[in-house]
Amino acid sequence: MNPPSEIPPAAGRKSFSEALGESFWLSAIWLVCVIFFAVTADLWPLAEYDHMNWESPAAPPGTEIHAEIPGGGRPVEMKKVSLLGTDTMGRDILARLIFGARTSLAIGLVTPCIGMVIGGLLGMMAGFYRGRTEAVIVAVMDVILAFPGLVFLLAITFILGPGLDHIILALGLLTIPAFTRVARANTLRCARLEFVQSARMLGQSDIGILVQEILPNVIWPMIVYALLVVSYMIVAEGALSFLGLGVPAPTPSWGAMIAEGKEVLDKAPHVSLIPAMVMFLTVLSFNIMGDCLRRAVHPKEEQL
Amino acid sequence: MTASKDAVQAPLLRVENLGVLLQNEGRVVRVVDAVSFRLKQGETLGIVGESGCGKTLLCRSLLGLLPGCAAVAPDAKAFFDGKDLFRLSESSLNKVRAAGIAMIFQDPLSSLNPVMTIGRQICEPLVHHLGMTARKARSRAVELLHSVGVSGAEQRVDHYPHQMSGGMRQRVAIAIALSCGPKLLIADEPTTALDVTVQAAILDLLMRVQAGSKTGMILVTHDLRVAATRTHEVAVMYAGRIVERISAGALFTHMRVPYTRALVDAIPKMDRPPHAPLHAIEGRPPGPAGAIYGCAFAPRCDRAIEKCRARTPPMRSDRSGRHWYACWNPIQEPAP
Amino acid sequence: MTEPAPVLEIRSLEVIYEAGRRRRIQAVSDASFEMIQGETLGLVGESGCGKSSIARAVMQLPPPTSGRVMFFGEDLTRVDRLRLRQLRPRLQMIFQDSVAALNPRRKVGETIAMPLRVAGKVPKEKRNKRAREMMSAVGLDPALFGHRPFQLSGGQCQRVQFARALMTEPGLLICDEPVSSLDVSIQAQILNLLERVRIRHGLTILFISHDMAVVKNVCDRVAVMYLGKLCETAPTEALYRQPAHPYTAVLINAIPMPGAPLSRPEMRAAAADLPSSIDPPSGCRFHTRCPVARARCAEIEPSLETVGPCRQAACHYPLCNG
Repeated sequence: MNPPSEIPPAAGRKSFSEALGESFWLSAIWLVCVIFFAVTADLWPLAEYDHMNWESPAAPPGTEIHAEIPGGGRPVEMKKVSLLGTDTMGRDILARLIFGARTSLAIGLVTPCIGMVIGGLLGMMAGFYRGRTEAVIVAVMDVILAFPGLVFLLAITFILGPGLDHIILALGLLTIPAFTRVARANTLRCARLEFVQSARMLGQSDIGILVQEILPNVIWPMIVYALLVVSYMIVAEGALSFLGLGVPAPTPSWGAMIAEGKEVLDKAPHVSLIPAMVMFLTVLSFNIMGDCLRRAVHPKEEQL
Repeated sequence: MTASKDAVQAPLLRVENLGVLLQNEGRVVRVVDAVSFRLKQGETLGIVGESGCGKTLLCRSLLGLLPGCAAVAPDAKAFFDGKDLFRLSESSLNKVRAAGIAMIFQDPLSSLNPVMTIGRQICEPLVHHLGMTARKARSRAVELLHSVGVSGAEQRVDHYPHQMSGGMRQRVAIAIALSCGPKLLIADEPTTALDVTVQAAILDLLMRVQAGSKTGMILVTHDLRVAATRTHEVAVMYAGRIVERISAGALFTHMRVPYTRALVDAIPKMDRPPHAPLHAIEGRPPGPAGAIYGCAFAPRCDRAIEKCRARTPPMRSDRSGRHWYACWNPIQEPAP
Repeated sequence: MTEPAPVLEIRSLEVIYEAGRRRRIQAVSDASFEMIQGETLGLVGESGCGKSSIARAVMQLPPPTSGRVMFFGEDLTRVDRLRLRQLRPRLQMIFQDSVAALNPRRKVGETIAMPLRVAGKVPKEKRNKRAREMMSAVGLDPALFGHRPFQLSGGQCQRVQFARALMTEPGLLICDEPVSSLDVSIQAQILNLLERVRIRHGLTILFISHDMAVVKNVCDRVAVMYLGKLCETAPTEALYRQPAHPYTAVLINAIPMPGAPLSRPEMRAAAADLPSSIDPPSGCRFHTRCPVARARCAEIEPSLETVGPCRQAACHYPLCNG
């Protein structure tokens, strides 16, 4: 064993990016790719995602098919190799995947934002003001939690009609109670600490304390939780598509694609498996990023 | 409290070259190094030092209670009752833990099981290790509680830890430690979490117990005044090493090591007027990961010479053979 | 001799906590004292005696149940919220847990500049410059400006607290066990710092501690508390030379004194346990543990009486008189 004099001098503290680890960056690369293609979907020479081709339904990857390429003015029909094959209605899977990413990501990313903003606000108020404010907020959240989520979704689609925005709204409202809890618990923990009292001793107002002292300590746990909710929501969209409550056709979504392929699972498994794989990787990446962030942020919190 | 009459008897505990290695972010750091001492039956050794100096890890290593990231250095030896504690099998070490060495922790609330009555917690080792019947163990538990100064012991045995005050809980922890009649008692900051008046009472109790049963005791504390008044010999630790071993009576007057002197000077004195400045030691102790070239205290020491920064001073003793110190430039004259 | 106007005057202060199911904890009962400009008053007692409750009641965090807190002649319990927010920066507090007292997400320098930011009207450059100056004044390397609290040691965090508190030029500084969780060598550094800033800023300090030796070194006057009641107030030197209240004697006697024989056994607290403040003992609250208690102590509650120059004690049989 080393005698003490040979111990190397203390290395500096690990940087934040080092603390996140490799798996974080691998996940990030995958997600950046998915988001990049979703945003730039219109610029690629892809087949029209809703163009049905009854000559080659459920064609395996690599088959040559007739496809409509949207070009200046009117679509051009031409022969083309379909990289990932076609679905049961002969639509190009690659095109549907990339356009479907828009739907799935919109649901996955926007819903937690609704929950985070509204839930975070309510949770911080409940944890900071306590008393009657807290009692009312907690009671309302308990009611939302007790209400069956599916019935709520059905009611929303029934009243407002089907549509991506209504699904996002409904799912977003359903995530509020969980965010409220995370925000409230973290606010309670912080508000007990003396730095909040010393801010008060400096003449800081309630709003000032909430925004400047408490919010920076609550926001990170919220973001970590939000990343978990993202993957929940992407999966939830898939489940809703199975139940026929998803985004109305022909707009593609990963969940709808998996659902469509279930009839030909024995003959053409790729119709379901390819979107399932993409969804799996995306959800896994969000989860890994959430975990790595929590680990990188947490050691500091333990010093509290 | 006089030193044992039988001066030639074998020591109860003999620790030689004890080191503790800690895995820290992929690197191995020696947090306790070259610690040697001996403890006679019926005597108390005080270990003092600032937080992070390794005193707690030192005690835990003797009982094999190190955390997973730490290990005892391979060349360390600790003879207790003729057996080397670091080379015992798990089962024989358990036997030593049960009946030979007992430990008292700083925080009695976390060392006691919150969902078990204190009676059961005292009875458990009695039944398990000494083979007592449940009824006999219970009456022994009441006796033990009574002997550590818990009033109304008959009712208290059925209480839970949260129903008692901090001082009472520490008394219960002491009762549990004494239940199997240990030969060595290790008390790690037993009074730090308690009020001064309670601290005095608990220390009185420990001294009484120890003198009565001829137990050896290691008292770990950060308070030099406690060490000087409650022990026979004091070992001062700095950055993982013992820098001075001195008889308790001489601690405040005849220290040789500048660090000991600085610690003594830093204590607020009762005989000085208000607002008198204290002698502070500038800087702070090196962290566990820091490289140590020469004497670890040299950067903060006002007596440091060239040699101090180059080589680690070895332990040497004065003519009496009772006072050991590790310093290249020791203080010669007694403190005022 | 003309009396200078008191900085802080507390009259019949009472703090009661509700502990559920109609159990009420009387943390402070009928406490009165005053502090003059430039004075350091020590508030000592065992944990749970109500020292910190007094500090919090002075700051109105939360306000006391009843009684008056006069700060430079203004009653803090009566002023409106706006005035309270204006007055608060002149009352500053140093907390025991220096890590919890600093926002973990904020840079040290910004924490120190915070008082100026809240007060407003000071541009950012000037704020940061003042913060750097204050950092060197309290013995912190200005290079630590961008560090976060978890990167600092306990002693350094304590210095940050001092820097932040001094930015507002407070009229009263309350120190709640500022050195209890520090090692002796660091404790001495912080106490010396306290002494330095006290002289430079002419501070009036309420120093709360359970350590009688520290209080002896820091305070001009000491108030001893037991179970929510003041039992003795006296100038420091007189109190330590000859305590009047038996509890003060017990506290002083409990300090381990190297060189001296172990403390006189007749001045030990009889029972080691503090009685509960939910149901305090009758008469003198200390009689259950008092080494010199007599029958009368259990029946009649003693009030604070003058027992010497500038000193008062609440005891039927004070250990010294006149």
